[in-house]
Amino acid sequence: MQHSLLFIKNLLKSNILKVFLFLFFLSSALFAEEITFKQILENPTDIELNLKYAKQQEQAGKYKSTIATLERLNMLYPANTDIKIYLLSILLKMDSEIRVQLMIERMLKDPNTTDEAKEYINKVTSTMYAKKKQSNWFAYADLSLSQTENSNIDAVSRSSSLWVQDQKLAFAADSVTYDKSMTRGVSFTIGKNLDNTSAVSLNLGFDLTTQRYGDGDESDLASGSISYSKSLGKHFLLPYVYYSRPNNRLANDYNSRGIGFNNSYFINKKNRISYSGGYSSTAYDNNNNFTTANKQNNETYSTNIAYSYDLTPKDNLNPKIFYNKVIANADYNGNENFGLTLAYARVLPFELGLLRLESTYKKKQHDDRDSFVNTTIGRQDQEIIGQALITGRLNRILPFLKKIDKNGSLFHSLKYRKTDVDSTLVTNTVETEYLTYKITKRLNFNELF
Amino acid sequence: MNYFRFFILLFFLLTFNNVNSFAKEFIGIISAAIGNIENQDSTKLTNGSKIYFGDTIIVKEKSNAQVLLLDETVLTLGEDSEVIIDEFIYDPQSKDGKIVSNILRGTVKVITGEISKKNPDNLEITMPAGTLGARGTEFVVVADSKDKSTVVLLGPGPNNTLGMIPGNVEVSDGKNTIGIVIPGHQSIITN
Repeated sequence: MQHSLLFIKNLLKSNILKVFLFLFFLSSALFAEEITFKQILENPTDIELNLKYAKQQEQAGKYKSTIATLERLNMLYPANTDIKIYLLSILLKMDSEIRVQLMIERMLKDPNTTDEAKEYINKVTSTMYAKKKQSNWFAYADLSLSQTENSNIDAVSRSSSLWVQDQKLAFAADSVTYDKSMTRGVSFTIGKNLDNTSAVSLNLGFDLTTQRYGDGDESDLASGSISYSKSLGKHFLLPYVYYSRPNNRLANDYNSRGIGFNNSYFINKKNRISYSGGYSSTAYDNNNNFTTANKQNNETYSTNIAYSYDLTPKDNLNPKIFYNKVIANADYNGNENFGLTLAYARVLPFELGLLRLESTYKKKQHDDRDSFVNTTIGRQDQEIIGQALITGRLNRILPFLKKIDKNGSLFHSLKYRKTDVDSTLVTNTVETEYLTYKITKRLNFNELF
Repeated sequence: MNYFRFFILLFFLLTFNNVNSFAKEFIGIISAAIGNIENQDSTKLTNGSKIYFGDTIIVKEKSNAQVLLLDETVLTLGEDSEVIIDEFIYDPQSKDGKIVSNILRGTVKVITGEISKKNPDNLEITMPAGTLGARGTEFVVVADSKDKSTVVLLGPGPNNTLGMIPGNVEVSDGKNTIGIVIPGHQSIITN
């Protein structure tokens, strides 16, 4: 017996035992049983096993699995407050306010909730109230880049001739027909949801347009608008005011301000009537280069009514009639125009976007003859406009962009437009084709509020 | 002649056996069953009941259930809910697969699993009104009626301290697609 005790005493003193004990504890830690998903499938209700699994998944950063496990245990063992507190602590770390609130409400109603748990809930609630209230404000910016190919940028007439003081002359030899222009634009919108049915928003924009060959259409444009939207039963009303100020490189500058409204009346799921009215005032800048620019100053009254019919959930037909009256300082710049637009829109398969085909007939009658052009022939135009537009999210047509554009905030549009004007004045008998490709990136700032 | 009959019999046995095993492909379990839960054959489903490909899970009134699929996708069904797993293909090695689930009615919370993690496009949920796709997140679908479905994005908030990346849900009514990126926000789809 004495020998045995002496042996143990010596062993405890020796390094061999210390090393052995260290290795034993290390191996226990290293080879601690890791619970597998297969075990959970076989024992989904085992509280001890599942709690260990939840803890392991939490330590491994697999929080979704932790939440799913704790939610299951909470369903199976509703009287267990510890599980609820554990789940609540994860949801808090997850910053899932909506779920935390729901869970707290349920726990407070639950008679099994202990005083200790209620104390914890009080702490959580006070922390949540300390956080700022969710804002009704919203904001976003659109950055756009577009290129337009224009077949007749200087509006050379079909016969290449024009009237000047009753004389028919040829257009200048250096007139540009085909050209490309590029526009870089930025617009910023900020708004507030006033309640569940109305909102107000402010938009500020700036566009810079440059031309490839000529420079007659080069400009920058500053604009702003304020709009209010209100849903009233089957009506959706949108009144607005706007201001725009182009700064043209060669042409005379002006500013334009306007006010208008649009109302859509939803008859039923398939039928909708929209109508709008507007007034705008445009004032041109007189200067040394443009001494009579203010003769173009005008006031415009515009109105239209449109009917929208969904042929199928993916096809829409949209005829519209419009009437506009332009009252200008010089009568020959004033006109009355009216017409009809027929539009058809189709949602493309595989969410590739929207196709819209549109055709417009417009008749325009100028109020007086322009003596600088022709003293005997008044101007009356008939215009036919054809347009095809495809628009949608870029990552739908270029799937590899999904990795970069995860939330689908990159939009594209491809527009072809042809205008064919037949006028009583050869000067204005003009045919032009446009092809525009535009890419827009939307940056959402809602999370700032 | 007897041999011929034997082979014909064997052929049919093997054929039916294959069809049966295909139809009875195990895809997950009822991990929690509270109250009255049934499948399409009115068989009562309890804790641990196996779910097979093509099964309909019906949760009756005052009942709820959690379904754990093999790729760790979790469906939590509220009372008076009905869900069919229309498609479930999963390779546990590569984590490749596809899930198409049809929520016929009720309230269903979904926590996405490995299939969605590997390829978000391979998780598709159809609802009475519209469809949705999800990217690494948690969301609730409320199939209010045949003509109306509501989708609420849950998932981690922007101030989460777990390093979780907020997911998003894309909801489509077949005509328009809307992305929900802010937790707590919802989209209502009507036919």
